[in-house]
Amino acid sequence: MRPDPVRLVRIAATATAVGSLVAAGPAIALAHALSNTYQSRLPLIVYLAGAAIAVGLSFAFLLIADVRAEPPVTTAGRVPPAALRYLLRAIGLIGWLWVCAQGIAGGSGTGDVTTLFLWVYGWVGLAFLSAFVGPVWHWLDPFTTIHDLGAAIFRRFGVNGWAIADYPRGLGRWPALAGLVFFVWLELVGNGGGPRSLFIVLVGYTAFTLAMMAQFGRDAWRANGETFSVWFGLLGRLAPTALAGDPAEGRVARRTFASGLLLPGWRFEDLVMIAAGTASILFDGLSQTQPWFEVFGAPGVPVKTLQLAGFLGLIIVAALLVSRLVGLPATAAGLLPIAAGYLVAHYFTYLLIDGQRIIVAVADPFQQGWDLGNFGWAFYEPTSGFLPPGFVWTIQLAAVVGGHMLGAWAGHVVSARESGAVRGERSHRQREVPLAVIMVALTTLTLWSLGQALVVQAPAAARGAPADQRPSSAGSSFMAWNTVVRGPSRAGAGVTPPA
Amino acid sequence: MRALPPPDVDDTASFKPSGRRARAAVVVVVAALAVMLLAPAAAFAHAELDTVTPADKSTVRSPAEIVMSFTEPLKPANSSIKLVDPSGVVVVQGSTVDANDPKTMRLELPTLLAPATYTVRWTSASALDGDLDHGTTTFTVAAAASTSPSAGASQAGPSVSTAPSSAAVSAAPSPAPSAPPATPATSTSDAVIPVVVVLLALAALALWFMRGRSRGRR
Repeated sequence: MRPDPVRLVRIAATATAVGSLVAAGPAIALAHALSNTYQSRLPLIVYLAGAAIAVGLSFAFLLIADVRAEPPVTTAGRVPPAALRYLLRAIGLIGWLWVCAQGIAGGSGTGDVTTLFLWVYGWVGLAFLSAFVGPVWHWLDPFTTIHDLGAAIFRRFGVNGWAIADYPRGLGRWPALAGLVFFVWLELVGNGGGPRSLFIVLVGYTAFTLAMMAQFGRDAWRANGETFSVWFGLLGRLAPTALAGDPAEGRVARRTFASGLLLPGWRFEDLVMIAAGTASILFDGLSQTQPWFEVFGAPGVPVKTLQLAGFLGLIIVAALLVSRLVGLPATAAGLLPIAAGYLVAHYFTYLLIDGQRIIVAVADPFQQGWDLGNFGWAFYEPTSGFLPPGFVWTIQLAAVVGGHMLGAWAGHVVSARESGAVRGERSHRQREVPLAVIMVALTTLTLWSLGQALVVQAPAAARGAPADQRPSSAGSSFMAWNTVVRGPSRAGAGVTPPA
Repeated sequence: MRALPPPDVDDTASFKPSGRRARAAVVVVVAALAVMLLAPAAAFAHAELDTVTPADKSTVRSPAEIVMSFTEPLKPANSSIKLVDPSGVVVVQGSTVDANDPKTMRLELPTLLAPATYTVRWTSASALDGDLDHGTTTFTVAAAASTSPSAGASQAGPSVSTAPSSAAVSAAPSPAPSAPPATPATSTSDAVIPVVVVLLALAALALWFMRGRSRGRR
């Protein structure tokens, strides 16, 4: 039964409209693990132009008849040099050990490596590397390194583990997806416990991952159950280098940037994960804006949890509806670059500014009030002075529009290949309309959120500031587009606004 | 419709005893609850600098000691004051937290300081929760006209409440709401740059794409 395309378009449009309404409706709160420390709003003209470009691009791809491209030719690839592999493994393991030592014996302060490594360098930095460089996580992954070390030690002493079970087919990649949703929740809602509870989560997750690797085999669990491997692997479809052949051999091959989107092998859970990832970034951006705050205030954890679940569910349902109309591979290939673009637009200033706290961490590795070498590094304050607003806006706009363009291209190509459409066939192009609609809606929403005044109120609530002492609107006049809203950032490390 | 991902606690369907998926959902919900219990534990309390003698950016004769008072009692083991000379060398370090007034920390200066501008690096650890805070103040030692500097020196700069020049913007109870757009970057031209750059990049891409296609047809 082929549904009438007009009706489908109408359904998609309705879903989008409902989505926007809900997005404009009741949602979320303030304290984020990833709170933006750089508050320079995208000027109105920039985001209007961005939205216009996005719409124009979408239609351009619908009108261009034969955007054809082939998936990359899979070459044999090479194993990276041993030095590089061991360096990456060592970095991952040292990072893990450092976080554990800090969690067990360390004090608390702005140079706490728990937040720095898990959220700043891990969740954001590794996502960037995975999407734009290559499969670094394959070696950085401390869980795998610990597993391999443990296995080697057991083998030396002649201890045999239990037999490896077949990975249950029905489980799919749902465990990885559940983990992603959990970490998203932890980052956006449940981060009140600070670094100490983050450390407990890391220990628990490590134990769980090692047990699952022992049960189902390291590679089977990495491919399906380990959240970071699956999520970074999805983003890695964009990267100009990728694992080739059997992942266990660790061979890496070069290919054209983003051509991995055209490869087959999209799973249902992949699409849900991409939608959840995109939604979480959008939610993070939206929920920090002044308009959102004015509507929803700052609810407690249970309400925030429901808001997050509702928002994720909404975007996921919208993506699934679109995928029924356009096809799963085309939808996934269309949304993944969007997710990567939003990631950059929302978080690159965070990485560049908060990432500087590694200087404090090196001088005082366990937050004991030391200043190793007496260089004064422990007194370092992250600075954003080197980031002129024009540059930040350029990156944000280029990332969002670039992600949109890549998504439109990949969705179009994959959809054409899937349906075996003849060049320029009209019905095929009509089928793509729902994908274009959801992409334009998401992109417009992102650009809008980047253009809003941000409410930053990180540890203030925890410090006992009354809930009604909220920052008031930060200059709503059009002349004040560049208003810099300053407030204590999460860890108390204020950031100098660009002078 | 396939099942929505957890946490979807109210979805009774996910409690059907049938699938592993249901079990996974339960595990996730339990884990989430566990973390929620851990969550409300945090309270960031920094011992922030309240007053300092010699006052920040003051000019004094060589002082006998540096006295700092904080907003919270200090944990002596992790709190310190270091005096740094203009070349970055630590001249004197170590500190004593006042036994009677644990909010006060002092650093004795055993020798006279040569005329120069000195930096004071302070590290405070709150006795309440051990949270670290850092900051720096400066003072300048004027060329000594008097031969008895230690007498009046420490009074030279009366204790002045300082805004700590540290990372602690947090000194303000609520975030400064509408800081005026002091940045010069509010001009329209600055806002146009990103648009122009992105449009140019798109145009270049389009040209490249069309060239590739026409070459492909040949």
